[in-house]
Amino acid sequence: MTILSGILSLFILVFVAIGFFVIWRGLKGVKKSYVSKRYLKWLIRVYVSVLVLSIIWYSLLSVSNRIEDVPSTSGNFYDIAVNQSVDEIDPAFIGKQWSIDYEKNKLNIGTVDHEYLETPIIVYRSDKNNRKISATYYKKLVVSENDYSKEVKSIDLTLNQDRLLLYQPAQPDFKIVLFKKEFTIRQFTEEKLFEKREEDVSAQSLLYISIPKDLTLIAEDGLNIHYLDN
Amino acid sequence: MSITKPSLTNIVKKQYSYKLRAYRQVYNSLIALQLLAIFFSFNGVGSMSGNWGGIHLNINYYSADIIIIFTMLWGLNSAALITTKAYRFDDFAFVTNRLSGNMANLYVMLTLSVIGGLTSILSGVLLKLLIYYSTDVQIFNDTRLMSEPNLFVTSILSASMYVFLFCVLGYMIGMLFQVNKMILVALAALFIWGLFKDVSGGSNVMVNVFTFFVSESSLFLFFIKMMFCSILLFSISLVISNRMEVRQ
Repeated sequence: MTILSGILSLFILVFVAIGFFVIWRGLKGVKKSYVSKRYLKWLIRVYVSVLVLSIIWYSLLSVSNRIEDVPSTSGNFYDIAVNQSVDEIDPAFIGKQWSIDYEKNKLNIGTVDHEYLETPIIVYRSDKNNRKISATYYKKLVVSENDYSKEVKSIDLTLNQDRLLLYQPAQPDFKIVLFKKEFTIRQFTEEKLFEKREEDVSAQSLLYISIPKDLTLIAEDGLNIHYLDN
Repeated sequence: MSITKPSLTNIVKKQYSYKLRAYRQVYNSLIALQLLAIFFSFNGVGSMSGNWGGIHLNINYYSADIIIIFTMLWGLNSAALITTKAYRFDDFAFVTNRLSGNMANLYVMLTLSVIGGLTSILSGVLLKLLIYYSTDVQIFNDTRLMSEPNLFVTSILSASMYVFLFCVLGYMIGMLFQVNKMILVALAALFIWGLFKDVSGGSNVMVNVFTFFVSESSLFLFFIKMMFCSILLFSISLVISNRMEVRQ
């Protein structure tokens, strides 16, 4: 509250200082300044035309804006998978799925050159010895109720003899422009006046791997793995 | 003795239409200020970047708030200009009294506020368009104000009310200045006192005055607050103008 109050005070001080300067300058020995009627008419016409054209143009742009129904899942994938069930995550967020037959009892899991994989991994040990490894990659990028998850590249997963190799493709550096509503409307909506709306953006990913009951999984460096016991 | 009986409404109407034309240079400054505000808004109001599970994001926040604030200052200045001798003596070109002059000024301020409020919101759309074409972004997300006409109209109305409040404030300050030049210094001192005078909750008087309007989430109550304060400020201006000397 005190920080906010300080920022507000500074803002008001600057605002008032500019206000007083403007008034003082305006009132001190003001003389009527006659602007050419023709010039002013021309200026107003151009300005109004630009503003009106902007609205039309912008409305047309908004039509082509990518808006998709945002899947229902809210909250952190990792927490949902650990505390509830991975099935609670909306299938719309599934980026890729793998099902691999594996007969051996030991499996190494790692990345190329042991590079750090930023995607968290959850390993679930199944209660069956079905000799099958299944994996699901979840990805989410939702910005202001618009779903851009498809823009996120999925990781690659390949089995190389007894090593499960994970590969994170180069992700684009997403540059996002978010427009806050004007404060003249923000005060009547749920949007906060001064704080950034971090909840406008939700970005996360998760790799969920299910392994057979008796498989020994050896994790190499560079992985953020959490084991779930049956 | 004249056979025509002037009515207050007709005089106010004549003065209003004359003043709107006479003050036309205020549109010049409005356009200049709004373009300047668009320029200042180009840097955005905040940014955030980070890595979310391998997804790299660079987020830039933009807002048209600066345009509205500049328009409010324009309203303050334009209304203060009306009170200067150079413009005040325009009234004497008509059959007039203090009341008709002030009423015409009030309607002029109302008109300027609507023009200011409308153009400030529309300038926000221009800002969005300029940012859309000038920045290299993958995701451009706005609040789609245009697809919500009720919000769009509310925004214009609310911006106009803010501009109007600043107009009547500027009008009152201008009137006070005409009575005593030192009044501006006293008002500045009052504002600074308000900034440092703590009240409960860790804030100060000015912050409380500011939040009195800005934190009002009910449109109806906001309208009532705006009208009450505007009427109060304008009434003070009326009282001051009635005490001013007549033209020699």
